[in-house]
Amino acid sequence: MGINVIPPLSTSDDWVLISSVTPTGGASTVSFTSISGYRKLMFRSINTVLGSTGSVNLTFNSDTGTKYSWTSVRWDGTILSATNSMEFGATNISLSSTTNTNLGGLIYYIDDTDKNGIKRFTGFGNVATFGPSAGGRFPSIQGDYLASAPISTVTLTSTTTFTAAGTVSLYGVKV
Amino acid sequence: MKKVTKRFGMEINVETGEVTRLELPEIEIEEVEILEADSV
Repeated sequence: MGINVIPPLSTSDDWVLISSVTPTGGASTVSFTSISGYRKLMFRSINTVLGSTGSVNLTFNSDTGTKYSWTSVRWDGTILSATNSMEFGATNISLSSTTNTNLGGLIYYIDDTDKNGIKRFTGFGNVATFGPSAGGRFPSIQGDYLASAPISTVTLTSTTTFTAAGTVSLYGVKV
Repeated sequence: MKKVTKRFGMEINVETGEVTRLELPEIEIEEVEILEADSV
């Protein structure tokens, strides 16, 4: 009699698109809400453009408490900058400097998004244009968010406003 | 010079696909002059 072998459950990540939008012109924030059923999330902001120079940041679950920490490598436009960035207990994940309009590509991965505890994140990006002030582009970042609940909302906030350009997307790996 | 700015957000419910406009609190922003940085 043959033995039926049950193959092990796959542990590889099958990323699926959850939602994708072009920002509404004039909006200050773009939020994905009612997220559930995903153990990992990937946030992408590609070729979005601000209406006037400003910065953007990322928050989870509308949480602006001092719960975000990271280290990042900064790029001054030519070489990796000697002035890198490290934050402990920030109120958001800062994604760019204050002198940009074209945001290039920003891609962030968040782990364990269906769990209650601390979430790690890692990201990379390239801001397409440079403002008068050198430095402040974050090509590589990793850190964590002192969460106490699963991720249900991801918000991209600008200090100015978005134009109707580019794409903001959320991908996930189902539980 | 300070300027009061009305803001709104874009909210996408990923479950229903509904996109709504969210009124955000007004903020006061300081208009600053961006100066050229000294060479590094």
